[in-house]
Amino acid sequence: MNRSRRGTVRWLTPVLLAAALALAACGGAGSADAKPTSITVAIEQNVDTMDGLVGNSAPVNQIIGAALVKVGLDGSAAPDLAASWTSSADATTWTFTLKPGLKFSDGTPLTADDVVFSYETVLKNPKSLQGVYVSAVASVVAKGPGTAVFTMKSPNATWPRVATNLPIVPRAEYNPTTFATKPIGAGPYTVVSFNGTDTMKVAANPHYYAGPRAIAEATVQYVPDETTRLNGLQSGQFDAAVLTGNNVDVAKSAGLASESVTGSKVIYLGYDSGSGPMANEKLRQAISYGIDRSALVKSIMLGYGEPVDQMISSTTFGYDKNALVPAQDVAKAKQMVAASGYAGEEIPLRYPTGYVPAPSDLSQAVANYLTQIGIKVKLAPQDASAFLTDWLGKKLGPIWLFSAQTVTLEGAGTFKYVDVALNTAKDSPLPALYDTMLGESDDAQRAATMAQMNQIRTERAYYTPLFVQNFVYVHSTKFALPKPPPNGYLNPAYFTAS
Amino acid sequence: MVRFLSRRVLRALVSLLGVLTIVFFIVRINGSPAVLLLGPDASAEAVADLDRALGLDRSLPVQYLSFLRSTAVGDFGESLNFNRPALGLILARLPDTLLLAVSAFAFGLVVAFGLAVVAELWGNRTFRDALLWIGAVVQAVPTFLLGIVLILVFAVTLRLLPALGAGSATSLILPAVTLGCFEVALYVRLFSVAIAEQVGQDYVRTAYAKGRTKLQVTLGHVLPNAVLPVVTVAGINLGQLIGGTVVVETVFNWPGAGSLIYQGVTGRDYPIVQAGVVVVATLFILINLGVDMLYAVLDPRVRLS
Amino acid sequence: MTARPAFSVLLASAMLLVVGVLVVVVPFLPHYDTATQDLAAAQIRPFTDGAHLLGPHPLGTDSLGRDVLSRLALAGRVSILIAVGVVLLNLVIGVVLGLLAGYFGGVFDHVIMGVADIQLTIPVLLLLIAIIAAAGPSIPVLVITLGVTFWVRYGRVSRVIAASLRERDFVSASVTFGAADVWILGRHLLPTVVPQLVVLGTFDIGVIITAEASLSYLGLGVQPPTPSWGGMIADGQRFLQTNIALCLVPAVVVFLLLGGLAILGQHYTSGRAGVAPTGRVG
Repeated sequence: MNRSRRGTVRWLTPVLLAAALALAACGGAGSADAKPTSITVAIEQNVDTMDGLVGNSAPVNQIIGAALVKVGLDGSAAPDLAASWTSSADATTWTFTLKPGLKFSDGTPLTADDVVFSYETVLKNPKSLQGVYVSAVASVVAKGPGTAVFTMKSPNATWPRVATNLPIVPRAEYNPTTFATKPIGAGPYTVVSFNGTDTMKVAANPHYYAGPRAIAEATVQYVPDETTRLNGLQSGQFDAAVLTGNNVDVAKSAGLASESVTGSKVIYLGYDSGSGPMANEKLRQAISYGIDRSALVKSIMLGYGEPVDQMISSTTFGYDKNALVPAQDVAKAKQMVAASGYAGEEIPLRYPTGYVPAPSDLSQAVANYLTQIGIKVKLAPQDASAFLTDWLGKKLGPIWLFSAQTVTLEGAGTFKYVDVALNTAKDSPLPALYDTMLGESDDAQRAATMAQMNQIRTERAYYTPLFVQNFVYVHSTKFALPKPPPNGYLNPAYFTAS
Repeated sequence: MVRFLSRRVLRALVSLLGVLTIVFFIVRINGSPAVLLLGPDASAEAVADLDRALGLDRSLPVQYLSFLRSTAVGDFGESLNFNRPALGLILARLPDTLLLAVSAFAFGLVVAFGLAVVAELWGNRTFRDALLWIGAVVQAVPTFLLGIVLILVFAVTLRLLPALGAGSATSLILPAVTLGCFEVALYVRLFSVAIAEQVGQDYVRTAYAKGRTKLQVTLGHVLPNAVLPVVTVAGINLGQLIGGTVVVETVFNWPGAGSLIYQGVTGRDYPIVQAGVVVVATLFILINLGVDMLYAVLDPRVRLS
Repeated sequence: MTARPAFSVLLASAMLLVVGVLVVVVPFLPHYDTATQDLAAAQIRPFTDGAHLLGPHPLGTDSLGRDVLSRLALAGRVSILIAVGVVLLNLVIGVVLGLLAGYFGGVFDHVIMGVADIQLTIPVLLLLIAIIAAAGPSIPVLVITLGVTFWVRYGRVSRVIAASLRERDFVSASVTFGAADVWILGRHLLPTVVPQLVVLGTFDIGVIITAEASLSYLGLGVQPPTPSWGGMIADGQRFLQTNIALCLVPAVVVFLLLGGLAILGQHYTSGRAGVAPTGRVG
């Protein structure tokens, strides 16, 4: 029996080796010098409905659709379908002028009437997830085929950036049933097929206003698990994905290309400054000195991030260049805790198991810093849905770890939900300043108001910003990504064959 | 037989009602689909508006009753994420889950059968010990770890097999083996017990007395009789296998119903979870029924009652 | 008995002894510290800290610079506690319900077995995920959800035993003497049922530990800062390609425990007809 088994092993080894070599040879022969015309990207955002008037999966909407405005590769609000826009002095009326000769992917012309139709359809559909972005609009009318005029419910200086969210669809052809799987839009790509739940195949839109994109075909797949995205990249099944920390290093050492850009997601500690132990301003201020932000970036993010002391990142409108990140000073922080009158009670630290990078490591590292300066914390994780529900309901308790992200790179977006919607500070001047800022159609003036808001936030320590998470685009060397987008979205339109 | 079947169907319906009720209330313990759908930058009013549009602002008993009413006519509602009928989405992804589970099941059964036969016919103590130790190792390795290691070896390093997805015939191999490895360990144990039970029976001794060789007795008498009890237990296990593909589907990005249901749980997509669990539970009941009937057909001593 | 099974038993005992030492003795070592982080000294490889084995971090440090050996010991206590707790809970529920169903029969039997049917119809892993995601992951939630999930097998076995024992002489004799039902159940049935089920329960410990690992992979296992073996494996998985030890070390320890239990269990139950082991969950 022993002999027969050893015999098996003897012939099995060369056969396996030969098979491996043969397969390797085949793989080598297939990838000749020809430039690749098709790319497979794995994205971490849902690919659930193709109907941009209903679904809010921004990467999907930006691949197959085009909006009036887009977030430029430098982070600015850049023309998309609209060539230019102006507002009334109080920022309540916005006039968008469309580019000439626009067409949908089926070749039919795109006019201001289609813009009106798209916005009105969303306003009329209470189930549309795009409603959040459109709700500021009181009315929208077409002035001729090339001009759309928006009247806002209240002054809204941020409107052009908010308008990046809604793709424009043709009035003549829109049908909610067919558009869910096979829409018609004006984006860089058009849907060839959608498997219904997670994968869409797209082809370059021949009528795209900027000309057909370099990569003719693409497959876009929803892959929620990061290890899976890494494995797919390493095995050659995916051509591009966004990764974090350690996985970036693994991918790099496996010979994949990567571009890292400062992102728009700020990881921060939020406080219930209205009641409970964190209503104590001195205690909140102590925390800022207790944390070594650089060490967090270095060890948790493996360097792919930037320490910050404000709620928005340097790529986002409203960033205050003058704000300095305080250096860690444990002795000072301890003194401040001792002087604050904190009684030493255990404080729960809530955090979501999504939305923040490496939630388990990060929360433990943060808790450790708090323990070091004499604050007793207890980690309290929650799944994303439960956490968000409590967050909106203002029931998170004294301290929470969360992220603030504005994908439109508009600081006001962040301020709206961290200051105004949440309204943590009852006596705070922030909500009033927010309203003032919204009415300031002059960007420089608006930026000054936002800097003022930021200063108040720092002085009163309503939040402790920790760091900005970088977006690292990892991709096969068959492709080049000349300008990585600052919003973390993978769009085949950004790639070229290398 | 008819009485047996109608009683089983009745019991199955009661079970399904129980399952539905449990699932209905569990997914609603906390959290809300609206906050996840709209994302962190939605206001509380926007969330409340969406809740109203989705009918989630009604009281739980009211929601439950209307849910029972529509479920009774086979309407599981529209997925909150996909805006399409939940049942259709689940059924569209079910074949991939079934393919995975049945392949793992078949892999487990065939390999275990082979090993058990070899052990019975030629196995010495070393071979049996080796089986036992290998089984112990397999049992101790968590499924996700086995899957990731297999990917790293066969897809990333050797580039022999696809790492992910369900695109080709070869892409089935790694996930099915990952899921099936533990089944092998399980079924080898079942086969050994079943064979040991048969070997002690009178008819085996009679066969030997008639001068049959060990090979003849094993293949002709022992194995056919040992397969039945194993298939019974394994069949029930197949049901759990269908409901237990979530981890493997996640590791391999396998587009099955399991990962869709899991997404439904984390996203509070109630219709997806409800439709998914009912479909899996129904399959489960059907498999059990099938196993019982198979048992009765193959073994005349068992009466269906 | 020849030397070979003795060798198997010896080896299995040695494996369990290693786990025992880890869990019981390590917490008394001078360097035992499960909490102190040192981000600057993270991810030290095993056996590379200091010149000799008894350096402060013989098995290296984790991604936050904590001592792996200490955490492995604490994780062992947590994992074993959970597994034993879960098995006991299942055992108690299963035995009580099974004995009631088997001994009293009738309505009891119908209701209890009906509940068992529903339980068997639910896809276990999906149910666990749903409950834990909703209730929030914590050790009590884990123990209770897993603890009410696997009782059916114990219940069925004890029901059959109870039903068959009821027919036998010594129970009938008690009935004649007018002993209370509870007395009969406790005095005569329990001692017969429990030993068989304990063997069954030993096999389930492995199922529980790997189930916890799978839940950890999905982010629903024991939550930080408390370590568990499954949690350590799931955490280490992220560093599989850069520091395999983080994943391998806890995996080996789990193997030592489960392998040892399996070999011993096999040894002591061989010959007796085994009860079908539980399939893996996840």
